[in-house]
Amino acid sequence: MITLKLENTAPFQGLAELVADKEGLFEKEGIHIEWVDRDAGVKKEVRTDIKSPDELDPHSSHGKLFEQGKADMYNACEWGNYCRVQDTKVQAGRQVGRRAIVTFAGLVVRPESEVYTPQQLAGKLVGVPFYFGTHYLALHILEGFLPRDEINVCSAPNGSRMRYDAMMSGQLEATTLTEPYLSLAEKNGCRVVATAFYHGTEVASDKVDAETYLKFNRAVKEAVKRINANKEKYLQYFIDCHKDKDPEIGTLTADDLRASRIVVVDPAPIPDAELARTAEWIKSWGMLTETEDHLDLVNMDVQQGAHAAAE
Amino acid sequence: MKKLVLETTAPFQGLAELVADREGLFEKEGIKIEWADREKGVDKSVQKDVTSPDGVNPFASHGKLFEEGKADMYNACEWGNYCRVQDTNQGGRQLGRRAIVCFAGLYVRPDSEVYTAQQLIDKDIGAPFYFGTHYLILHMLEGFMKREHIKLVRAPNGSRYRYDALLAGDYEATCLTEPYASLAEKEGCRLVTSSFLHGTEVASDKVNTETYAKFNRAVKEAVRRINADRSAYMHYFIDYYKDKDPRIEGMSVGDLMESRVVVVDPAPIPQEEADRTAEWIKSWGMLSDTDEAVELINMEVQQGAHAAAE
Repeated sequence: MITLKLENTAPFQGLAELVADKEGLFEKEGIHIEWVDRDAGVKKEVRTDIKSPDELDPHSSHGKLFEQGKADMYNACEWGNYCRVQDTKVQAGRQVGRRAIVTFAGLVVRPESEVYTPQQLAGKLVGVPFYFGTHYLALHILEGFLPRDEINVCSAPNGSRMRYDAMMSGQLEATTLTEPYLSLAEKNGCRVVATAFYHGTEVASDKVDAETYLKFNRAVKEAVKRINANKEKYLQYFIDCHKDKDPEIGTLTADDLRASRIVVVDPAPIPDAELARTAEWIKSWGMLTETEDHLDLVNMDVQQGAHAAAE
Repeated sequence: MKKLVLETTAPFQGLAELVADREGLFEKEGIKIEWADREKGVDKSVQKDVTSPDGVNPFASHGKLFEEGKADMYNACEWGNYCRVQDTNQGGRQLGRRAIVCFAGLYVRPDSEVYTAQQLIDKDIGAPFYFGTHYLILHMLEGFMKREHIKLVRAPNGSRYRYDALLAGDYEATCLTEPYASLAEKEGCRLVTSSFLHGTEVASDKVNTETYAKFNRAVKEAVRRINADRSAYMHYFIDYYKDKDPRIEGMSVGDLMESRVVVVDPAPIPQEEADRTAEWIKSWGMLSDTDEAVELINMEVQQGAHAAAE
């Protein structure tokens, strides 16, 4: 039995891994998962004066313990992981492929907001967690509706609960939310002005070789099969993960969530063309400036070896 | 009783007007609504060789009867109405925004390999040129890819037809409104991205300030009723189609999401938004004969009627 230390994850970004763990699928592959808490001590404040990720630490939560040598692997949004891998101090930290869940997220405003469409967010303060998936997603969504100079983002904490509270208090005109907070916001009368899905990837140290990642992915694939066979059953994860810390989530039932928002697929390599386009787009926003070749961001040996063998 | 001939509308784009009509709110204001069927004879084919709105008639459905002098007013998406008003032969001008802010989403088949908007690069997307979802597709996709990678093909207006063509594999994705967005989800299709869009009303000079103020008072009351009990009005989305489409008949209101039904008081088009919208439409090669967005609006009726309806 090999022990893999993973940074902890939430259903919106790691449902399949949580199911694989709970249902003994990793153990069946000879992997024991130890979860380590990446969010302990993370600052959870809105900073309306911070308007870009410049000077912020991309490893503030995802990758934090990995960079301290206390975790072997973590999963996070693909865009953010490009930046984290560029800045890794753990020299072998590279992406090894895409995670199973394709995350659903939306841009949300308060019930009394005068904003109904993304265009109406021109110049208005949108809170995003820099280097986390919904930061990049907000940019993608908004730049379809606004010139870049009218997109006004500021730093908001990772974790939808805190962003939801800041939006409801009027500190932010809009923010990005993932499930179950998106559904909670809708239930409470907020409006979701735009939504989209995004990919994430796994970043691993050299402890995770092709054979280990192959086993890991076999377990995840079985979890994906189970989730897709009965998505309603697994909606409960989105409530259970948060309800002890957040009584309001405890008031939700699986009926408040929408099964179609849960999209899980077999883990797979990052397609080359998508990798190149993604890196180019991130650079267009002033990030990833120290990466000349986007292929440097992926451990091709493990990615190709593990995914080919998992077929 | 003043008679107003309106082009037919569906709940996703005219819920408040349909409620106002059915619940006698127009009559209460002294307006008798007569609905004129703008959909008769409209081509519902997919034309994959038509890849831009160039040469396509903006009055293919919305505004068709209006331009023939057979309707006094119609509502449609704001972007399309800018183009229609530019090309009108009836002196039609926009009078303000309609009540519903319309939800729409870009969908792919269950077996599609597309999961994110970026993955639609260079793939065929069915768009009904000059209708709201055409413009919304452009907005939703241009944040995720360069313009030259957005590949549209002409698809019919009416989500049912676009949905059928999506399932048939005529294109990789299309944009759907309710109840077809929910039907698609129920049948395993995947939403890729979604948003909301505004619409406006275009009227002839038969609709003066007083008439439009009365019309809007009725619509505002309908908005109030819908917002007070949205669940009571969800069945409109099913009832409107169920006789024509058994799949919709098989749906219940529980399949729909109330949060996708957004209605607000009709209001003037904010000047800044009108300018920005016109500029964006021009950037896509449309609206080239219009110098100022303000030319597309009957400012006198818009200001007078909305103030009077307060």
